[in-house]
Amino acid sequence: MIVEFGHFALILALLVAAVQTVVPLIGARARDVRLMNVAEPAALAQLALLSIAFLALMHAYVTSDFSVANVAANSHSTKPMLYKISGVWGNHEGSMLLWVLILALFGAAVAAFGNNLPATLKANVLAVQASIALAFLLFILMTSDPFARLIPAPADGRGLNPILQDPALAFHPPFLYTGYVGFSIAFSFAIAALIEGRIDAAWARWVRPWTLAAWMFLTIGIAMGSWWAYYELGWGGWWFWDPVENASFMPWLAGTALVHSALVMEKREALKVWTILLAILTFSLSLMGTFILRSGVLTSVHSFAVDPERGVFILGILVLFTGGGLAMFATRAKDMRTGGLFQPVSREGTLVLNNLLLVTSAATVLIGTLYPLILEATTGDKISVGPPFFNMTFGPLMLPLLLAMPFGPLLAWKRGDLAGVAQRLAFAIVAALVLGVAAYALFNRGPWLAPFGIALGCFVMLGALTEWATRVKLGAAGMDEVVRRAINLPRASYGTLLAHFGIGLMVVGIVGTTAYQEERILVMKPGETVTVGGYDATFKGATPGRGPNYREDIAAFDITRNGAAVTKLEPSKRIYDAPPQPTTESGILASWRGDLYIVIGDEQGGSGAYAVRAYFNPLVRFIWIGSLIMFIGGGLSLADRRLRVGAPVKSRRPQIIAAE
Amino acid sequence: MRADDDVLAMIFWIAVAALAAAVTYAVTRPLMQTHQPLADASEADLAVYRDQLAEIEADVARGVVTESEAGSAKAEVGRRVLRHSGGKSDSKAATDAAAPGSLLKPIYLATSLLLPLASVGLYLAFGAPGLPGQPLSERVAAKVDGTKPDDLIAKVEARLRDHPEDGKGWEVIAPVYMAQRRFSDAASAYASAIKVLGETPPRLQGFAEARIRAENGLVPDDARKALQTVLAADPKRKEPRIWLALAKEQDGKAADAASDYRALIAEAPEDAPWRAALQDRLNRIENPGAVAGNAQSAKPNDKGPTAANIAAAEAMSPDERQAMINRMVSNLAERLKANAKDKDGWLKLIRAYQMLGRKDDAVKAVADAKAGLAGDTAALQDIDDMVKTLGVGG
Amino acid sequence: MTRKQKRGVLIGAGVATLAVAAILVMFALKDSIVFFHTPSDIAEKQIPAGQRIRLGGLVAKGSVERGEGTTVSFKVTDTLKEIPVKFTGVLPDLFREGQGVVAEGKLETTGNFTADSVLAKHDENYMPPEVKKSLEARGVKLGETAQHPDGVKKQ
Repeated sequence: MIVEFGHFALILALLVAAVQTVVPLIGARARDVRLMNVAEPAALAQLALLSIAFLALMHAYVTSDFSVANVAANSHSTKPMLYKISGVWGNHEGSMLLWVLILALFGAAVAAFGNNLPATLKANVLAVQASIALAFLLFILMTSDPFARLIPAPADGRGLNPILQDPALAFHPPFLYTGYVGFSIAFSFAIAALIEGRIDAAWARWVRPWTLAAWMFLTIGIAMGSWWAYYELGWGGWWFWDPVENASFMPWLAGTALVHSALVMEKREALKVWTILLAILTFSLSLMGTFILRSGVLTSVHSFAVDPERGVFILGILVLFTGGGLAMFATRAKDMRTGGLFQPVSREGTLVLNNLLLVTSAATVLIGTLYPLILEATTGDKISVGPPFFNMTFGPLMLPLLLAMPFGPLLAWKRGDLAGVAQRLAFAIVAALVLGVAAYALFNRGPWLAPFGIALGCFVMLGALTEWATRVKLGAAGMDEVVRRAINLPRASYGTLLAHFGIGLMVVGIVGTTAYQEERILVMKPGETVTVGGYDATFKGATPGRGPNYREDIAAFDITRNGAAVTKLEPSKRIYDAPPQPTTESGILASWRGDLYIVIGDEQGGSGAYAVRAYFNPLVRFIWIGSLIMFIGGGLSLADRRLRVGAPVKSRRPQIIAAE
Repeated sequence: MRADDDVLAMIFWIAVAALAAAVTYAVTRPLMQTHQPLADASEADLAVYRDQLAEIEADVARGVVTESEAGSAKAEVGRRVLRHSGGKSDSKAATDAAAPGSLLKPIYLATSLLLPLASVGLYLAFGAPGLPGQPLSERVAAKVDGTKPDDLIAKVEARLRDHPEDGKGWEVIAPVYMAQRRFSDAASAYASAIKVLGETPPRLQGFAEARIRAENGLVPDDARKALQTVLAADPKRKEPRIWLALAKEQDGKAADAASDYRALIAEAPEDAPWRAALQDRLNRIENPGAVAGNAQSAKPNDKGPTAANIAAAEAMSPDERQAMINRMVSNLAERLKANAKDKDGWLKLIRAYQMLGRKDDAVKAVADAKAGLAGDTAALQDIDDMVKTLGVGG
Repeated sequence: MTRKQKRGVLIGAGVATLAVAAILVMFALKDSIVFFHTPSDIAEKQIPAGQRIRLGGLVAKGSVERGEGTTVSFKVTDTLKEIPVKFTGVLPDLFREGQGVVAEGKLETTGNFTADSVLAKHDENYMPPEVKKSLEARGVKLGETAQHPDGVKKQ
């Protein structure tokens, strides 16, 4: 009965979304408060209903109710509880339900905390938001009903794809979707602004926290996905320029640009029309990501649902919202008051550069991702665009971006003093070059560009610290003064600092692991030793083992460094019971210096010898630590009172030094 | 039992009604309130600008911006404030101009009817009302009588997961898997039984058959080995010899296969169901012209479909089988009459006719296809390619 | 600077960035795309040796042979033609005879293929879409795997 109740709640949510799309829109036109006010309870009701539906589906998973087709197809009675729960969104239907649930969550958050918004704007925003929910709920009910029943129920389920049975992947989709879907708010605000034909600095201030939240979650979601690919796919790499990875990366690039352009708009009321366009594009890229992921039009290691009918439906949604949004933009934007212009050398100027480079790089990724589709449609040739394409196009575009990054926050608004800023950054520049040389001396191999890459990453980090030092007058004022200033610095400043610092750290990690990776592939008999990255790994043979729902061959490696025992690594090859599918579990020894990473392949000819791949990935941890720091930075900015979502309108007495 | 179900159904519908009513009430409540004038939109904007001014002052107090920067920033915010104050009167006018209320009644009515009625209606269309959930724990507990084979299987499977050393269990479940056409599972169950209890001809033969069926009729190496062992232990068995002959044919050793088939047919009792199937195979080998003109491709993989048919031949009498194939082909032909643009369909049909030895039909189908696909050069090219590969009409 | 000049700088920067990006994209596309072929394509289209391609098809039954060290040789077939492939490295988990596979590398003048990477999809019944399409276009109907006939809709 719980299943059926969930199904009913889902259908009711669809109708509430329909009401929420239509009534507030009419209300905003007729300027009738009562009609507009329908949006608020409707948004909250939608959240409640979709929560009921989601919990009902989760209940079916937890209790292994195989009379639900979705559960039977994706779960199994022997699966550990964590994966019974994560199995809810580990499949197409469930993940779409999660998608709309998060959409409703954002809508309800605007309804609940958006008291400071003008009534018509709020009504329009919620109406647009509901129209997105309406489209996706229709999609779910028509093509991918998670509550379809299967009678008679099969004895047991088919099981979750074993490579998805992993803690990082269990939480990867919710974060990623929160990011994707979060940009829907920026989209709704943009469309609402176009409907009202009015946009100003205040608009940017209302949109920014939502965009920032979406950006944060997308950042950490992508990082989790890459971490998972790193240790679970067993290829030793952390990013493959796979279509599905690109699908999440493009909205991230556009979203990063949006966060920055909204800042210019709030402070200087410039870039208004551009920001609107960017908000539409960012969400369109999110929708495209969903389309690529869900339609399986592009070959990928991630996509597990391939169904042309669904693909066409999502493509329809994509065309409707992107096309509709852009059409509205084309007809309405020219009527808007354009913003001011500014000097090229200024904070705004660097932010424009940031936008230009980020959007262009997103465009190159888009071309590389879709080119195989386009070529196949036009010439019938089947091709793949591999990492070299992206490295050749994306890398050069990031170079000026990273170089300019430390300058931006140090330049003043309106009119910047480039020479003065360069002077302040002198220490960072020199120190970064020294570190680059040190990297060259330390590794003494690899491409000649690598030390420059390391230096660039260090420059970004040191530049972020320089900005902080300047703000707190480090070295120019007494210690007490510095501490007082450091404490009083707004949280948003720390947010910027951390986000930029995290990028720098990530660059160092990326360059280090890409340029200096060591790889050994060989067949090892028990007792043999391989040396990689300064470690000696001795193969001690493999033994069979058994987990809750799999069998495995566990290989034991004794790891020593300079003769001293360090640890034991136990990479394994698993074969799951349901579905019967092998997976590779890597053995990883993590350290600041880098990761020792060992995976085993097949047994070679029954003599106890195994194919072994051993890598040393220098500095690879920095990639994920960097993204975690960026996430925290975003969170700090969001916690700043000035950006706080529900900042009450009434308390507007300047609280000069209080509370921060 | 029935009364329980009724009570459950009643509770369910009460819950549905309560949910629909609560949501409808919540959503329509604002519509029932008295009209209020629209708050001035500028007020919200002004609040933001006042906040911005306060921030600039706070930044000055912190010393993070210089006085002159702060001065110009404040002037800018001040301009925005002024602009908004100017626009006030005009938005007021708009408020007064609107005539609220006229739409309210119909919207209120529509909403409060639509939400409950349409949701229940759609649910009746999409849902399975009254169908209780079937959590695994309840099902396993409820089915002690074990009348349902699926539940029995689940029980045995659960036991075997914990006690993989239970050979008897594997032996029991293997034929059940076969009957359910879960051939891979059957093969591994037989393999487990052999591992625990040792090799016997029936187990080995079961294993081999399961493997062959899992491979759609191809005879894999492990199945071959198993069949040879069976034959060595019990030379009187017919099935291993049939499969091994088929394996030879798949290896391209047509002559060896043919002589084996002949020997088997000679020994076969009149009423053996596989006799006709073997005769059929033999005819094809001896008379390759009658079989799909794919003489150029004697590779084992090309025999996929026909080999699979042989595997299915045991379950079906030869006549039934032939009838089924003919039915499928004529269905396809019918469909193509209705839709002559279906290139893949034509390719399939031509191939099928050629395979079945209906050469005249194949030639006619080629002509029809070309007529139907006229204008589509790519498709015509494909048809020509197919004609060449299969040697239709030759 | 005048308003016009400011706007000029903005537009100039935009155009310059786009131009650079366009040049990069063009060069990269020329150098780093890899064509996908089935064994029959290779026979028909006269793919020159030494060109980097992706070869897709099924791993021919009984063709996998382990050589010295981690070298493996096998044949990729689309059931019409076969191409012998040599690969040194660790094969993916799901590499199996009779299953779909995509190998990336170069065709030798001898007609053999030397792969430097081999991909098999993380799904037991997976067939790379390119392979499936090419095979179906050639009239090859892939055997329905008889593993889950219990009526559950396949994902």
